[in-house]
Amino acid sequence: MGFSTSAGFAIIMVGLFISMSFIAGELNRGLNNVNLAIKKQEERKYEIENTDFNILSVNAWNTTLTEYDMEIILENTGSVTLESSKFTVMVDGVVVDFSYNSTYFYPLDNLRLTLTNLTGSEGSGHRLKLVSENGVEKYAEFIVT
Amino acid sequence: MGFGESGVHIIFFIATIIVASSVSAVLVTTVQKVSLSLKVQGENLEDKIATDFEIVNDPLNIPVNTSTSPPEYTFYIKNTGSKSILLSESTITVLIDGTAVSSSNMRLNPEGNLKPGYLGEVYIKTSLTSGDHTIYIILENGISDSLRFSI
Repeated sequence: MGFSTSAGFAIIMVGLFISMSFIAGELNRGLNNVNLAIKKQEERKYEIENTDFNILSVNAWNTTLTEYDMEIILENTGSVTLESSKFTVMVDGVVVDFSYNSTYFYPLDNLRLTLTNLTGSEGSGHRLKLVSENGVEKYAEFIVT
Repeated sequence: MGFGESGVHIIFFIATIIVASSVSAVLVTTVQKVSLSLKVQGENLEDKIATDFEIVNDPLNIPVNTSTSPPEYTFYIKNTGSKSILLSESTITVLIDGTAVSSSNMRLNPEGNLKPGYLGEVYIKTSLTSGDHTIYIILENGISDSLRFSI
């Protein structure tokens, strides 16, 4: 009777130990992954809060009667380094291709974006929108000269 | 008599072992299922935390292709999260002024993964009257963004 009870108790304890090890292992892995994701989210928030840039100048000039080229100068007034290729440039709401003079846009540095063969005649007004990789947006209006 | 008593002890011992083993087996199986659920829930939570995007259109200039019927509007979404977003007609829900857009009236570019920092396009075929409208885009994990725009 006494031995049977001890044996039964031992078997249940072994089962309980195995179960707890499952839970502990999974909880540990899950919490680590969630912690990592939260850390990345905090980094993203920090980057958004510290990202800022100004449109210093927009120059657009006709190359033909119906087409123009454009040069945009930006100044990074935030404290986050941005990737130039991940900017989005929209002219009159349409995304357009652009080239840039520097791969990275460092704090207090200037970035020159060049756009070519856009449609518009001399004297026409347009809206420009720029979006950085983390979603910070700036608008400007310009006239083709 | 002595054998009878031993027999009872043996039967009692075997019964105890069987009952304890059954209890242990049920315990282990149940806890294994719970830990599996914990894993799935953890992955979902991790996925939601890492996903973020924005509709980045100029609200006063929504590109439209009027050569189709109904006209096709282009909405730009930027992946501002830290993981790729799955773009597919079956996983994305688009609501315009509260009405869901059917997948047959929707096109996506790219079809598949949109990497962090990159721009994707959602083409919606719909008839919109002049004035203000609102678009909601909802991803498969429930992360959403909206844009109020004017036509």
